[in-house]
Amino acid sequence: MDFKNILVAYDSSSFSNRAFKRALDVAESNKSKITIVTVVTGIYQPSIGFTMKYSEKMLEKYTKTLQKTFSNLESAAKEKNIKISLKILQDPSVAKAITNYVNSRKFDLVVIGSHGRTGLNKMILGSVANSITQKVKCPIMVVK
Amino acid sequence: MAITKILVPIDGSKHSLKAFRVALDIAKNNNAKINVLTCLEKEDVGAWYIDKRTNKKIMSDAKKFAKDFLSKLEKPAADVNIPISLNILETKSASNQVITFSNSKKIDLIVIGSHGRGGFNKFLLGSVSNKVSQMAKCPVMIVK
Repeated sequence: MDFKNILVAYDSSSFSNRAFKRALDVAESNKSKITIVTVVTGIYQPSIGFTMKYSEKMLEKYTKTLQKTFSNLESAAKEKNIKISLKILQDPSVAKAITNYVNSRKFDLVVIGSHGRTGLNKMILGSVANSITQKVKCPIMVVK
Repeated sequence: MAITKILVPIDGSKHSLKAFRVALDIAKNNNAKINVLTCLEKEDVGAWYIDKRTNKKIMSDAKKFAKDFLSKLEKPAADVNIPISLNILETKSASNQVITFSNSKKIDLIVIGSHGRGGFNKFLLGSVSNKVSQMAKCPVMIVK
């Protein structure tokens, strides 16, 4: 089994940074391609209500900051000659968006950090990581 | 973050054998050593009320069976020149044993199947792999 197509679920937390580093190591030895996935969840706005629609202004702001962090990752990957691409998903549920994306495409490996930006317990998995490990149909690596 | 020691918990199910194959590939790429661990759960044996000696006999039979099974794994590992060590442990809880084993031997990566022998639901994780992925201190790869 070769890991040609690697997906990294990224939310710029320290755990996801570690996951990215680990994915680079795996990609280096397998000469594989890395896809970075981030999910933009809707924000509650009184003018719109709970429909979770995206105001274009906010979305633009988010994409801009995402592109900035992505350029850092890209330079790190370029040093090791690894192809890398960014995919931004829009969904109110992070875990659902990532599992749907992974299951609808052919990925050989998913690398994910054990906790995201809101994890407080060091012992167990974060909610997103937990639900993704259970529902994804390809091998998954949880980095602590 | 080089991977030098890989732990593969094996219970004879086809998921765990798939995990072993993936672990072989990773070990080949990283020149790593593989530790195979089989846990025999003590509580499985319910013959204590007939004769106390039956318990011991069942346990030693199970150990012999596990040894035979694990020795079959030595050949594919020797074919690709990967050092492998086989461990059979009697324990009360398989998941706790896997975690303490990985901590004490300073394992860099655990490769585990998504389901064991008792799994019937293809969608979620098995209980042992779930607990290991949550509690282990090193990265865990779950092979589906």
